[in-house]
Amino acid sequence: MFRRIRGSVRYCWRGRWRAALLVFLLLLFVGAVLYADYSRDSAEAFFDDPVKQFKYGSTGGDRLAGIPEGIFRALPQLCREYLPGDGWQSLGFIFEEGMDRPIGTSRRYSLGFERIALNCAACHVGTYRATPESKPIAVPGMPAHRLDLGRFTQFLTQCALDERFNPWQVIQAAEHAGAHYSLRQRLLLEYVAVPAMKEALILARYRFRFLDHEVTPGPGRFDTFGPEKALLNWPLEKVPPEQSVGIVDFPSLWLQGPRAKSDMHLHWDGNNTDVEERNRSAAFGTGAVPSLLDRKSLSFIAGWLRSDANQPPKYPFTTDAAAAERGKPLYAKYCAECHGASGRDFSGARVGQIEPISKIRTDPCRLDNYTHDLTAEQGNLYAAFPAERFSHFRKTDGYANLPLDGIWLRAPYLHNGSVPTVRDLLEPADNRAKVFYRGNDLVDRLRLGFVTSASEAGGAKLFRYETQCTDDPAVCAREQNPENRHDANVCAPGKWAGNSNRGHDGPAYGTDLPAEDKDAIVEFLKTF
Amino acid sequence: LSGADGTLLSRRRYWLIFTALCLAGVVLLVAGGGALFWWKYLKQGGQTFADDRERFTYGSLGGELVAGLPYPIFMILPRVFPDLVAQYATAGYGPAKAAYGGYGAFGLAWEEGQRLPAGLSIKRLGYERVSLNCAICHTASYRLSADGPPNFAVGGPAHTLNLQGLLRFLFAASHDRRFTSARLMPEIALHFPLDSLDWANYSFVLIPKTRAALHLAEHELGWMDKKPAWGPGRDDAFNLPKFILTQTPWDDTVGNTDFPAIWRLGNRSGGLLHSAGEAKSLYAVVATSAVGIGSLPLNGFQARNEWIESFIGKLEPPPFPRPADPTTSERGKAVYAQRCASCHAEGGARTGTAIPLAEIGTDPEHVLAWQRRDAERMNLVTGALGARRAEVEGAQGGYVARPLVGTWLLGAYLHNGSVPTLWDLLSAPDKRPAVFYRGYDVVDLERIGFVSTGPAAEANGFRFDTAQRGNANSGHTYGTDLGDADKRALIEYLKTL
Repeated sequence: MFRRIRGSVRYCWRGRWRAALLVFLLLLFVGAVLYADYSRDSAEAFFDDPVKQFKYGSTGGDRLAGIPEGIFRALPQLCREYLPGDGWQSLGFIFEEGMDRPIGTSRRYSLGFERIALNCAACHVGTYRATPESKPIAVPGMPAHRLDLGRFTQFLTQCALDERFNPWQVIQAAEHAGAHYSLRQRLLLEYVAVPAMKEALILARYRFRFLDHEVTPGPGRFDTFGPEKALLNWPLEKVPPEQSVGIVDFPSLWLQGPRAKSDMHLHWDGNNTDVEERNRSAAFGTGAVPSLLDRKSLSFIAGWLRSDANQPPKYPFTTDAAAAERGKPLYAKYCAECHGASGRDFSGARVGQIEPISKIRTDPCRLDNYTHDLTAEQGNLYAAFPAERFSHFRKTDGYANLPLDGIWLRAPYLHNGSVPTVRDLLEPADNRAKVFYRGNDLVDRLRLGFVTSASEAGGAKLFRYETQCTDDPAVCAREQNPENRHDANVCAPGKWAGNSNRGHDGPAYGTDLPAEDKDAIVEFLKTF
Repeated sequence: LSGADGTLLSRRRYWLIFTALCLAGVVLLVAGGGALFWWKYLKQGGQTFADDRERFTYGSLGGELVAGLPYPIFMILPRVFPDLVAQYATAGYGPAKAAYGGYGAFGLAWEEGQRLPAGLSIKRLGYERVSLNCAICHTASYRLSADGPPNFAVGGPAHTLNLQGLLRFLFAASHDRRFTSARLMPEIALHFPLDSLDWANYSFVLIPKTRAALHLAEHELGWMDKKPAWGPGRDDAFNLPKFILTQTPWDDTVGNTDFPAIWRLGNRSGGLLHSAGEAKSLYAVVATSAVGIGSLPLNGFQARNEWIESFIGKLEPPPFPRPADPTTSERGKAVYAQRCASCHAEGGARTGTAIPLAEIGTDPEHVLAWQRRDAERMNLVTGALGARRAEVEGAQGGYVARPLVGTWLLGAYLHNGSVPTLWDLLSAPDKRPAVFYRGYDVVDLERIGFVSTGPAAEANGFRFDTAQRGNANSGHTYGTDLGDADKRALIEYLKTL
C-alpha cells in the first residue's frame, strides 16, 4: 500500500510536465465549454408564422434587457404586493392558450440563460370583448390599451430594491416557478446574473426618472421618447419643464405599407417619414440598441407589418346601414381631407401631413417634449451602421393627420388618449368627459370606443384618467393650471399636463353638428 | 541538419542559417506589426458629400492626425458625464439655460439628420476620428422667434458656440474617475460592433491615449483659466497660436475676439484681414487657421486650403428674412453713404485698412496681444512645418474696417462682441449696455443683433460684463450723433447689406 503510493508519487513527479499539460488541457476544455455556453445566442423564432413572430419574436432587445426566464416567471409571486393583482396579467399582459408567456415577449438563450424580454407586440396587441361575459379577443396591431407599461417599469424597480431581491430568494422563487438550474447556472445566478440584474434595474430606475416628472401614464400610454433620452442619459433636471411631458397613447400598427408608400408622417407629431427608421427607433424601447438588434427577425416583422395581411378586423357587430349611409357624405365633408376617404383608402390632401398646433390646438406637451436637440442627437445612435442611421427625424410644429383604419379599436382618442369615444370627440371640448376610466376592453357600440364609465371590470380596478382637476373648486384653486389649459399652445406645467382633452374642436371638426349627424358619422366610422 | 552529401553542416553554416531565419522572423514580425499598425491607426478613409456646402460644413481640414479624437469615444462622452455637460454648458449662463445630453448643449449648430454638429468632421484614419473644421466657428445658428425652429447660416459667426465650455467639459471628463475603459467600453459597445481586436485596441490604446491627449491639451490651454471667460461666440484668437503653436511663454494679454463671418471674402484681396490686420492674404488666413486646428502641411494641405479659399471667397449670407421698408431704407442709404461708406463699403477709401486705436477708441487688448515678434515667431514655425504663403503680420495698431456683409447676423458688434445691437452701436458708449446676455439665438429684428435683454435672454444667455478686460464697449462713436429717425433709417438700410 505504502509502496504503491510512493510509486504513484514518483510517477507523477516523473511525469510532472505531462500532468501540468493535462491540467492545462482540462482547464482549457472547461473554459471552452463555459465560454461556448455563455456566448451561445439563439432566439425562439416562428418564421413560418408572421403573426406569431410579431407576437413572440425577438427584436434583439432581449440580449440587453432579457430577464432569465425562471426569474421572469417568479417575479409576480416574489414581489406580489407591488402588483395590482395576480400575475403579469394584472398589468394588462395578454396570455394566449398554448403559450407559456404573455403576448409581446420574446425568448432568447443569451449569456447563459433562456431570457424573456418585451417586443413590439407588448404595446401593439390589444383585446376587445363583445359582452362582459365573453372572452377577450386579442388583435395583433391594435394598441395595447390595457397594458400598464409605467406600472410594469415601476414594479420591476420596486422589486429590485426589495430585500427579497437577493440571489438566494430569487433562485428559490424561480425553482418554485418551475425552473431547473444546473450547478453552473446557479453559481452564475448567485454571483453574476442576479446582482447584475439588481444593479441594472437600479440604474434603470434612475434613467427612467422622467416618469417622475409627468402624470402617471396608466394603461395604454407611455412617454415614448423617454427611453431614448434615458439611453442618451440626458441631465433631465436641466431640461425646461414644458419639455418634460411626453406621454402618448400606443398607436395601432395596421397597414404600414400604404403609409410608407405615400411617405406619411409617422409618430403622433409626424417627426419621421421612414417606416424602417420608425421601427428601429421604437425598438430602442425594448432594449434593442444598434449592436444588439436582431436584424433578421425585425425585418421579417417589418415585412409583415407592411404586407396587406396586416389589416384591422372588420367591426363585428351590426351597424345601422341607413345611418352609415347618411354619415358618409358628412364624413367626406368634414373628415376625409385629413383622415382619408375611408378605412382603406387613405387618399386626401392632408392625410399624413402635419396639422400646425395653432390649428389643431390639442394638448401640446408631447409636441414640446420632442425637441430639435433630440432630433439632432438621434442622428448619432446608429452611427456605426451608415445604411441604418437615422436621417429622417425632424422637429415638427404640430400633430400628424392619421388615417382611421380600425378606428373602432383605437380608443381612447387623440394622441394622449384623452377623449374616451368617437362620439365624445365630436362634442365641443367643454362637453367631453373630464374624468373617465381606462383599461376596460368592453366595446361601447353606441359611442364607439370602450366602456369608460365603470371603475372596475372583472373585479379589477380600472385606471382613473383625469383630464384636469376635478376636485373641489377650492382644492383646485391651489393647484397649478387646474383646468389644464394650454392656451398659448405651449405645454404649461401642472399636475395634469399632457392629459388635456382640448383641441380638434370647432365647426371645421364637426363639433357643432346636430346630434343625429354626429351619430351618423359614428355609424359610418364603424365601417373603417 | 545535413547537407546534400549527407555530412553534417559546418558550425558556421548552421549559425548562418539560424541567423537568417531569425532575421526573417524579425522582419516578418515588424512587417506584420507595421501592417497592423497601418490598418488600425493610419489607413485612410474617404469622405463623400452631396455638395460644396456640405463639404465645407462636415469635411476634414486635415486635423485628425494630430488633433483627432476617436469618434466612438467622443460620441458617448456626454452620456457618461451628463453632470459635467450640465456644469460646463451652463457656467456663466442664466438659470434656465437648458443642457441636454449632447454636444448641442454647447451651442453647436446641429442640423437634423447629421451625425455631428456643423464644424465637426468624421474621417477614418485607422479608426474614425473627429476633428474640427472652419464651420465650427463659422456657422451661425439663429431663430427668428422664441418658438421658431433653428436656422443655420454657413459662414456666419457661431455666436452661440461655447467653445471654452466644450473644451473644459472634455478636460474635466478626462480627469474624471469614470474615464476608464471599464466604464466607456460597454457604452461604446451598445452602438459600435467591436471584435476582440477592436475591443483591445480601444481598451488598452485609444481610451488611454485619448485621456492623455486631453490632459496634454488642457495643459497647453492652462492660460485660459487666468484670463476672462471667452463666453459664447468668442475665443482668444491669437493667444491660441501664440501659446500653443509657438510655445511663447504665457503672458497676461487678453485677446478675446468675436468669431467673424466669412462671407464674400473674395472681394477683400489687397485689404487687411482678421480683426487687427494680422494677415494680408485670404490664403494665409485659411492656411494658418488650418494649422491652428491641427492640420499639418502634408499632402493635400494646399489644395484643400485653396478649395476653402475659393468657397468662402464667394459665400453669401442669407438675406434679411423680412421685407425692408423701401423709403426708409432709401433714406438710410444716404446716411450710410455720408457716414459709413468710406470705411465700410466695398471700395471705400479706408475699407480694409486698420483704423488706429487712438482714432477708433475701441478696446485695445486684442491689438496688444499680438505683436510683430509673435507674428515672426509664428511664421518661423509654420515655415518650418512646410506651410507656404502662410505669413501673418503683427497687429496693425488698430482695427480693420470691414465691408459690411450679412450685418443682421453679426451681433454682437465690434471685434470683441461688446455691443449687442446696431441700435446700441449707434448710441454713445455710455448709453450702451454695460451688462447684457449673449448666446441667446433669437434675432432682434428691430434693433438688429440678437435678443440680449429681457427674461428670455437673461434666463438662457451668457452674462457678458463689459467691465472685464478685453470687453470694453467704448469707441466707434460714428453716427452716435444722428437723430433717432436717421438711425432707424440707417438700420433699415443695414438690414439689406
